[in-house]
Amino acid sequence: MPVTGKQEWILTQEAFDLLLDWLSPDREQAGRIYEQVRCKLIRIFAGRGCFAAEDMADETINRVAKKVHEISDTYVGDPSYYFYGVAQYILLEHSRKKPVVLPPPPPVQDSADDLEQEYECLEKCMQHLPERSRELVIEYYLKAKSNKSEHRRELAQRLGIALNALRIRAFRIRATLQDCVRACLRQNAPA
Amino acid sequence: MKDQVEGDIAIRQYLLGGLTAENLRQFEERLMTDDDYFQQLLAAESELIDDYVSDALTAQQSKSFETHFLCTPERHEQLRFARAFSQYGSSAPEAAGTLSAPPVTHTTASTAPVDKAASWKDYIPAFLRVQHPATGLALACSLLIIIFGGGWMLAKIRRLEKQVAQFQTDHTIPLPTDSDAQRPLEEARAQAMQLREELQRERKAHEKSEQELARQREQNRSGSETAIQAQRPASGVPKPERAAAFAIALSTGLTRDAGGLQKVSIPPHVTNVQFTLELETDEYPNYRATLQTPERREIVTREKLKARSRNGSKIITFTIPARHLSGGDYLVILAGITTNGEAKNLGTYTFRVLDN
Repeated sequence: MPVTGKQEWILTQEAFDLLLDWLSPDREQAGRIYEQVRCKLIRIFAGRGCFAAEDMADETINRVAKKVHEISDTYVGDPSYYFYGVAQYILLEHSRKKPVVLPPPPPVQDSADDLEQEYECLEKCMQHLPERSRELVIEYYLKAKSNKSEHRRELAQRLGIALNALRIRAFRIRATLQDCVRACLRQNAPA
Repeated sequence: MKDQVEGDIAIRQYLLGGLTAENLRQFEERLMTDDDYFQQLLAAESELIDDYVSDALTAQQSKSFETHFLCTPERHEQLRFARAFSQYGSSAPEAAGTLSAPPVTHTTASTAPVDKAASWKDYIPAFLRVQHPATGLALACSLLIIIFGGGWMLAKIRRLEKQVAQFQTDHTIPLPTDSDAQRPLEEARAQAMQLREELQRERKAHEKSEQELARQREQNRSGSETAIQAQRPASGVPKPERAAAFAIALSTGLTRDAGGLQKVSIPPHVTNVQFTLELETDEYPNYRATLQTPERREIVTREKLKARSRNGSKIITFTIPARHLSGGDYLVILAGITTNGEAKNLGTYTFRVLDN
């Protein structure tokens, strides 16, 4: 968690519960909203070129959680705007800080070993997919080398769904594959 | 369509760092509040990475991709995946058969026209064809009963009609003047009336059975469609549940003995893990929980925890981001904090996180 110069505030269970209650009275729904907001904040910080996007997203959430007991009774509107407002402050602070020497990002070209491991895990994970999902994700992402837009439009028509719906359906299958590959790599990682 | 294309262009400009400051703010606000748009962004990220891998970006776009887009470890991970995925696409065998819509077609304008007109014969096997044989048998039996029952009633109605017609023919002679002779006629009239009433009842019953037959046909047709639709394999994997918290309950007294050590497996989607510690007694106003490695390296501390009751016992709960819990053994040291701020060690909770 980034040090703000003031005494570091730690997210307590009570504050976390209060935050979830503010997001929704239904605890499961609140959890889903929390995850969505966190995901979006990470994307926004990454979109601004921030290396530590996850940490900054967590810092945003911590600050909102710290204030929730003050604002929960009076705040009107979508909580997402409040999160975004706090994120803007954090971005401002980030841009004003003396630049931290960050570790260099990994090289753009991955090693052959890394790719091979990733490929092996991908093969295993593809086998775990239902056949129809596997076919769809292959057809959407891998079949057309040129003129992808036309191919995808034709695929959507063949399946009888809107292009956007197809895009998101294909992406969700790909996200599942990625999670599977990540878990596989973690399992095979040297101790 | 035009909006879609413009939206895609805006998303790609955003990902490559090409939006102006004002547009950037508007774009980000929309991401925060419009879930569908956010989903499109996520999908567009993958497609951008694929275009980079397949050299489909311009030189300027590639440069922006490397200097702006690839700014986080997560995106590097996505790039590695995309490379492996592309390699898979090059070396995997062709998919057997072209992906097409499932058997039941939607009644939308986008549905392609059928090659030939379906005849009534095509429908009979279609709505009787259900996945489960018992269901099919039951439907067939009820249909047969309705058909035969309806046929029998129809035959009975016709018989009664003939009898009535016959009766009427037999009794078209002039009425006898003799009152005694009128009695059998009156009886005959009464009987005819009765027969007419019976015929009415039979007609009504026949109409009802016709309606029932039609309803059954409709039910069978929609039931088989529902059965087929329910049997249709999911074309997408359900969206992975991104659980907010994964719960672990710990109790003291467990040592690092392999047989007794509590083992947990944290699913990869989880971002937060909620711990529940059982207390023997609640003697302190506050508690502190510290997560450590077996080498006593402190990972995370949670302060000002309060005990609460559950099912007659006292527990403490707190939450830790799942990223601190990769595979290995861990200790949670629980301390009671006195009013003076002194910490009293109350116990050690041990557990092992299994690699997924």
